[in-house]
Amino acid sequence: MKGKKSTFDKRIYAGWLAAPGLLIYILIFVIPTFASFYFSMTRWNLKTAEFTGLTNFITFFTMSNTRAALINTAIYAFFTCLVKVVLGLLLAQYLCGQVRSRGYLKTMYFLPTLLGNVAVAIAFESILSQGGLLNQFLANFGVEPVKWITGSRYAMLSCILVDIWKGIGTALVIYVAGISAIPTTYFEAAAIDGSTPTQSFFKITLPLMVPTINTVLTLSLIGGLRTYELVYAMTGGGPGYSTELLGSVIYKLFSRGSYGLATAGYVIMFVIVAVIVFPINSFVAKREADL
Amino acid sequence: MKGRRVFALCMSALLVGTMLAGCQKDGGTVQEEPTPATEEGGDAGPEPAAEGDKPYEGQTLQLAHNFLDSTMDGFQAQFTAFEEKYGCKVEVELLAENADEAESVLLTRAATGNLPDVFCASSGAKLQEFAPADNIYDISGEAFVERLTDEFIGIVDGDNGEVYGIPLRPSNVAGVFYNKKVYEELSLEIPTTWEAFLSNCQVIKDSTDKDPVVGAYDGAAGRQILFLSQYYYVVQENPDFAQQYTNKEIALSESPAYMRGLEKLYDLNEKGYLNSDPLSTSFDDSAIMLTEGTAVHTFSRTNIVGTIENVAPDKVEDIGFFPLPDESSQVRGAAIWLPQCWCISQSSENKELALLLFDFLVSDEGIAAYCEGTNPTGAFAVKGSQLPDNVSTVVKDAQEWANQASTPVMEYYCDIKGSNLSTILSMVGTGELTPEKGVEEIEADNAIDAQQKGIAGW
Repeated sequence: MKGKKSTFDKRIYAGWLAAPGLLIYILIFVIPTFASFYFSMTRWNLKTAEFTGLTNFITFFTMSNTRAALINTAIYAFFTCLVKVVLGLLLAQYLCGQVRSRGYLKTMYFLPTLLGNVAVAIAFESILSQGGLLNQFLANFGVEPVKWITGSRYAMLSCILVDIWKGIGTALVIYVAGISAIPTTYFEAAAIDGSTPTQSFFKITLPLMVPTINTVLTLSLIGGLRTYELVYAMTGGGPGYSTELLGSVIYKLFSRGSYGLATAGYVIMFVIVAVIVFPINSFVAKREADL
Repeated sequence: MKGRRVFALCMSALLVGTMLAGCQKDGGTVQEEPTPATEEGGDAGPEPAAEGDKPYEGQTLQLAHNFLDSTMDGFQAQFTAFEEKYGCKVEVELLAENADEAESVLLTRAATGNLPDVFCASSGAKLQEFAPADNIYDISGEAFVERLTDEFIGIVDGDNGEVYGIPLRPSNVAGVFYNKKVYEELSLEIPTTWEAFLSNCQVIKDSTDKDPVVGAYDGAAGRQILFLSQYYYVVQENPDFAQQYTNKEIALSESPAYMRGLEKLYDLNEKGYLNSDPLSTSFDDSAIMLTEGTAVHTFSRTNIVGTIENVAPDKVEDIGFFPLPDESSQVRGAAIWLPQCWCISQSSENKELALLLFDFLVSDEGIAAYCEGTNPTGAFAVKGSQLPDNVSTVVKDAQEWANQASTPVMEYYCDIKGSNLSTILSMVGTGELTPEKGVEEIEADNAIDAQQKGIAGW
């Protein structure tokens, strides 16, 4: 009897230890999440919320810029993620090899990650504007000024490239850590068996890197689907709706005071991210190789 | 055992408590951070001669606004004068320049009871978003309210005679600003119809390498000015337009005058009169291009003169003003933006001092202080106040139009405005949307805003 009570006490004691974390978690995550589900179904002015059912969700999808935003977000997330995953891995593989200035290069690739989104956006806005540095440079080769961010043709592409420039450092760091964790004995054994570096990459590095690739993939995909501040600061979603992302549609609704509708937008984004990321994540996880 | 449990409980309470305190302190520091200008003003003030003269010594008034243009210099001069007179301190917090964003921040604070003592708000229909009866202190009984013009009181009052604010800066007059020198060189006449305006542009395009019109479509305001100033002609056609639209009795596309606003915007691009990259041209760029004469016209408000006075003070007299022309040379007029207002938060603990500041701001002394800080861009909404003599000709001309033929823009009477208006206008202004398609988009966008605000009938 006494023994039982003591286990119970122990469990309670452990519970007390978890309490602060749990409390904070409930306060700043669980409650807001459920509250946002509720407020997404209301007409809300921060003080009073009038229940309107699913009207906000229907309205959100009928807005003329939502369609453009959904397509743009898909394109943006897909390409930024693809390049970060593939190019990041290749760069990491290169930098883990016998490159003399690899320490310097790693720092250089990582540096943009440390900059704020808005600072990067302002810098690139002046580089890419019609009278900007890039066009001035290209003019030396007789290229006519190109509307990199103010013409609908290249605006999205420019934003994607800037995002990759800024974000590839994170992917690189994760990859480098992953490659360094692979025991060198594998490579040595393979080399004795006469494996070429290319073979080693495909037969050893790649299979053992699947968990790392999965991490980078998940992070950059979620990032790509949710982000908007870099693009919004650079183009304002324009020209027209050509760089409008889900995040910027929601942001504009918030700043216009349509809080209920904007919250509905966030719930939709939450669902989209979950629906896309979880299946991909479990699909890739199945391909993990055992060490 | 019990001791440990109590200990664990204490620790968890401490942890959570520290975190919450941390949050609160963070919020507080931002609010209390004084701008360098304020500090400078405070230091520059002369030492008080006698303590007794300044009963407000040591008190601090918190104030928030989002005017980062030359208006800010005017405010600063006023606050410094006020601080010197009463020995108190005005702590200024700067909000995001974008009016929607700034208002969003203030609304959130209003909902959580954290408004600064004094804050800026939009006057007119948009003031309702603040739920003034709950959040804003009613100043209707104060003596200084008598000094405000009736037109201004009409846009800051409540249903039962409450008055919620005082004007925070002069009104702005919108129309066409043009380079007089180029007009002289090409011996052009001031156009009184849109047709004549376009043919002037054609002359400029054919005989010079200057841009006939500079469109500052980088910012939300620059995209909207031309279109919103068309409201003068909308009112001439139908004086009840705003009311009827709010009640959903009329569609935007049913007003030919309203449609002409979009057509004008479209014309400029269609006929090739715009500068080459309007979407990356900022308000400041447009002011510079106009003064340099690389562009000849721009659609703007008188606050552009404040910018010109900063970048090229010797060129201010080269700039002229005429109202946005329309169909008939007989009917011409300007649209005006009435001043936004300063409001006192209902939860403020410094109401006495705030009222004292209000009294000062609308006094001759306060207005003179503003004019010392920056040249006013239009009339103050204060009875009997005169524009100082050193105001530029262009502002005087614009003010003359405002006095004779003008109307405040539609936003003062109708709060329906979708979140994408400036984007839609930029698309019409760069030829991506025709005026017909543009008005459809505006109608749909506005409908969502009206539904979200719960306006009856939508």
